[in-house]
Amino acid sequence: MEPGAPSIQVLIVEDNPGDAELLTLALAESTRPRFRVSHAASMAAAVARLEFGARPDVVLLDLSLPDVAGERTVMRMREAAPDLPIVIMTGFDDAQFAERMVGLGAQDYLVKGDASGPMVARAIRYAITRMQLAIEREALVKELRSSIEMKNRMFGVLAHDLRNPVGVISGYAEFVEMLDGERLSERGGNALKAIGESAVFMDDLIKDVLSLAVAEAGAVNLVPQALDLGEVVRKAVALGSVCAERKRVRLTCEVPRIWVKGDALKLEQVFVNLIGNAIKFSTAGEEVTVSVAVDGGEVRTSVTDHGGGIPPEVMETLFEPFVKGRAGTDGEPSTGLGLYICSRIVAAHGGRIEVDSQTGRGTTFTVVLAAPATADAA
Amino acid sequence: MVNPRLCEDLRLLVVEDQPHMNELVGTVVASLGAKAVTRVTNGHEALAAIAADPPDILITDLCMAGLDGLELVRNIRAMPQPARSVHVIMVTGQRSEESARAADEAGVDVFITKPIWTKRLFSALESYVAGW
Repeated sequence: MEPGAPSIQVLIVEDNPGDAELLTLALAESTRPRFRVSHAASMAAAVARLEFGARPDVVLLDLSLPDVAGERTVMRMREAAPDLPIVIMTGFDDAQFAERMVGLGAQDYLVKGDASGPMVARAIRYAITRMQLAIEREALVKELRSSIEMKNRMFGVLAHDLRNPVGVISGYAEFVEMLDGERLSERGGNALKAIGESAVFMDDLIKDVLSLAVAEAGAVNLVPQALDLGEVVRKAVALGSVCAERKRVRLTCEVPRIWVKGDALKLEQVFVNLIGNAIKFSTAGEEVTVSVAVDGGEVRTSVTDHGGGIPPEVMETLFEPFVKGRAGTDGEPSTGLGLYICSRIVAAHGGRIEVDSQTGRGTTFTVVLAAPATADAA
Repeated sequence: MVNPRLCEDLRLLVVEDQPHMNELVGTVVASLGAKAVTRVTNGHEALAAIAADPPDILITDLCMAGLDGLELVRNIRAMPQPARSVHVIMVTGQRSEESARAADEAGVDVFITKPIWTKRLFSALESYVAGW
């Protein structure tokens, strides 16, 4: 024996002494790595070995043992040694069967009688590597998940804590302007106005970051139920109408009752955002229309404005987060997060948002959702 | 436009755990002439104050450590008269439909959201005094 040669401990679980002997001989041919083989003739014997402290690097597993057979063999071995790489020894060459075994947690499979010494050795080495990679990947995914969860939790806490001081700032600005506004110098009045507006914008930003954290947390947070999309849209229109009146933009909506499956609050958030944008980029006397149409298997809700349209360079990054938002026609600020959040929410519903914009003619945003298979529209 | 004697005859209780916000709400109602204002910093103190001497109006935050605003209002609505019918105005940074609905179900009379809130607090107090 070469001193210092790497050695791999192999546990053969095989009730047929002839097959076990053949495998042992095949593995004995290899010197790099050198295999050290032990043998168990039943699952019970193999489990006992593992329980008594045997730490093989890999197990070669026959699927017809006296005490367990077939798929259950793999499951039993996985339970007994969760991190032990498994190479299945099977009598028949069936790719689908092998796939299923790999799905159950085996790393590879070999067909008895077809496997030469070098093939077995290679299968063993690959199985060990695959198992190591799988373990590392699982640890990474776990770490990543918990760090995302922590980030989202932190976002939530931070957003909530930031709102308190912002509420105090905006509150004082409003209060002083209301009570002492007329006595302030022009400079003082302007400063107060800037403080108030900035605080309101900051609150918007916090609100968007908070929804972003919620949207990032993924589809798991959706509460999908059968809902009347028409009602959701009408609610969003009602919320937008205050803004529209202030800018003297006509906001019209014609929506029938259409049942879809979705999260009513989240979808409302999407339409409030799209309608808000349409108003933001419209000027007095212009019209914003909201309509719903069923087209084939899709429900299409469109929000159309007749403003200046979206410049091509903005179009490219329209749905990306943290790209600086465009100010509205009255200088309304943008957080740059609204459309990103909308697209995340709609995507979580299995839908998409389409944009059609023409310079000088206006823009239409269309939320496309799947129509329910059994439409029980009234 | 602001009546500096609007709240002169009202007895008010302010519950707010953030010191600056607590002080600001106190300043706002003082500007309307309120003299009988009690300010506390958590829901339990508020319950004790209401049990001892029910005010006309409670102005409360929603999110507070310990007993939050919704729990506080539910507790109040389960108290004997006259404490039970204290007029409740909630001022909060929680601008969601869900929060508004939860507040309504808990028995909040007026739900006001930040960041623009002092004007709406003024109007809520005006409405109360006008008997609306």
